[in-house]
Amino acid sequence: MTEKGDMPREQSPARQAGRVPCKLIICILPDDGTHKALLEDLKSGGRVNRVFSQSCLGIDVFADAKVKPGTLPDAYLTRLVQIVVPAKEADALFKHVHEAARIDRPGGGVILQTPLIAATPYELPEEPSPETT
Amino acid sequence: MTEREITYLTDVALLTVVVQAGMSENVLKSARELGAVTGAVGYRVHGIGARERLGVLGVAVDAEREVISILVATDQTDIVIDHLYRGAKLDTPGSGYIYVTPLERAAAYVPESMRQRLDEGS
Repeated sequence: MTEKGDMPREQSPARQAGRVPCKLIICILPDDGTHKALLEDLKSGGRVNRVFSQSCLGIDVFADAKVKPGTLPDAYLTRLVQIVVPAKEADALFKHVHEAARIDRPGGGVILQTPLIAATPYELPEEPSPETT
Repeated sequence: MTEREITYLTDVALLTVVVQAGMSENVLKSARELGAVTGAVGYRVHGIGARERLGVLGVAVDAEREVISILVATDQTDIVIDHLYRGAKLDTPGSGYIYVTPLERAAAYVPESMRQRLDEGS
């Protein structure tokens, strides 16, 4: 490894890695535990490690909610799951996540896919062997 | 689970609005007035910008921000942005901003009756 500043920016590992085209899959899921099952499924599949889930409030703006004029329907807890995947695997994973998260059911949420300009890889450290622990 | 084809929603964009805490209701009301949006999620984040610019006086500025993500039909994006911009008073410095993310594809639950209507229409 050369000293800091020697390496041209174009050759830096982050720049090189960022050239692997990636896509972002976004899921908005009901807060019924679906996100946990989805994350477990993705983890066990071993294909994805750049994924996170966060809690947020969802509101069906277009829903036939009976509310007084000028007011909003009640917001409810939802989960926002974002997954970064290599572009070549994105379409297959989109279908897989659609099925695993059971999007195709009333109130099942929504799944979106968008291209990313760049994404760095996320390598996990190797698990320590039993002898070293 | 029965095998069903995924009905992809195309020509949709993700509109993200970042506003001061407590202002998200104005954004959602404006969106609802238009009726051109399919749903929204909101969450709170810690922002930087206006607070730092004001120096010592910045302590009076709430750093908390609310983020609202809304799905919009691509051809209605400009109208929705214009409406939300005015509704959330984003022309005031430090009040917030909007950005649009192009979406390749989207999918959600489509009721069978609507699916049939779409098939008949195509």
